[in-house]
Amino acid sequence: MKKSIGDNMIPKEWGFDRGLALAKKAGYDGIELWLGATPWFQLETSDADVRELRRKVDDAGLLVSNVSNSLDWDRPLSSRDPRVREQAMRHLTRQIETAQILGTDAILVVAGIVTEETPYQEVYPRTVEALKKLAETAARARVKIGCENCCSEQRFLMSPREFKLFLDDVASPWVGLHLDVGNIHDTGFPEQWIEIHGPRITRVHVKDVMRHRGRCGNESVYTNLFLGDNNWKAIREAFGKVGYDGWIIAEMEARYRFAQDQQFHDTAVAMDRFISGRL
Amino acid sequence: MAAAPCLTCVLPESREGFQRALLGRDTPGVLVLPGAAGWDASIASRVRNGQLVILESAGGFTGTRAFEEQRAGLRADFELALEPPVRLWSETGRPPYLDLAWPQRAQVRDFSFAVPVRGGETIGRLGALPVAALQRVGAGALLVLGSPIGPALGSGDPQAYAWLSAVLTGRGCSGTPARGRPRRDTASRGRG
Repeated sequence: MKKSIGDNMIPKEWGFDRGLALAKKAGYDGIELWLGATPWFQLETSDADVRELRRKVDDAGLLVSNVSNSLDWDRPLSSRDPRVREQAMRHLTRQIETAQILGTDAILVVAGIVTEETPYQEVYPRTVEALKKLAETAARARVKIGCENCCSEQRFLMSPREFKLFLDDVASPWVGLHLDVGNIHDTGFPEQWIEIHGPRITRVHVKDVMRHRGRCGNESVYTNLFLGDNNWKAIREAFGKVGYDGWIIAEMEARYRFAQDQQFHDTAVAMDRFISGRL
Repeated sequence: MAAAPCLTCVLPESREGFQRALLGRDTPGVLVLPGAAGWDASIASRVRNGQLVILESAGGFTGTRAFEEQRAGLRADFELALEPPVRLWSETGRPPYLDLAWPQRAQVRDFSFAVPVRGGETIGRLGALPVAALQRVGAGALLVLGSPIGPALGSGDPQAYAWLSAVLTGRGCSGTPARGRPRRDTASRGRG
């Protein structure tokens, strides 16, 4: 397994270069780039500037693990408004293009968001249809689309079995699961998702979750590795069983209030323990 | 489904919903304009000549110009008044269902925006808002839907199917509606 961390964890005032240096120093193998989340990587960022980002990553001795985006929540593929859906297709197509430039073969998509206003029975077929189209672009680029399981936030595809049927309906080897082991909350167990999805897992986000907390106002349900309720030993064993040996990517919601660089180091050490299986 | 002369459909899934619902039905004398933006002058002559035209307005999902064209056409040719699209969802309120009262009662979920329609015979309301109207002219009629039902047809809403079926049966259309057809059946899917 290889370790990565999101560039959205880099304090904005630090800038990309200093963030890369910190990631390297902390022992990461790669960096996850978030389209739309940082000043250095926006939809308007030109191909030349994306190539420059890649050069900086290379020079830092890192790889780009994958490209994620922060735009799906406001411009979902499942919107009722066809104009919003077009915007979503545009940013996801750009995400695929930039993944190619950055030398990685995976993107993260939050596919389908159920709300009171946009009901499940509409979101499902709309999302399947959109992903079928996007899969053609992904296949040409040889970039895999990983649909993230943001179960509680999306209110969509809440169980691993349901997610499997969804991927079956999309029916493309270029569309799989970007598994976030912290996002399952009290609706299931990540180790079971791993066993069910196995080779369809494109990338893995890691964070821990405090199931008892739920979403209480501004209090985050997420926490640092090993502080929450995930059964990390079972998760590690499940990855071993299905033969997942790819990227694991730190995605911490709560940030250190002081000594922010320390969170990079502490998380990297915890990820090493997880990878080693000494739990 | 008969093709629209010049109107643009800006809600492709509405078109797909109607196509799916009308699959296998013989619908002579009926023209459905799903997710329609703009206006076409031939609508008036079609209605005068005995056709039933079902115009599903996409007012909430189109630009001002297309909406104003549609509004002017409906006013001039049918004495129906479209009001600006109403955003149905707000922080404090959730909308009721679209209540259709003719030719049979049906409740269909809203579609975020609705265009109030005044004049003719009000056949559908969202709360207090009149959003569906029937205007009979000569041997024909124009049925204006200010709140789209095509997406509900597409996802298999039984009441939407029953309502459409009743409208068509009233026009002497025959055949069995393709109610509840799974979405993945793409035999009739088409765009453009």
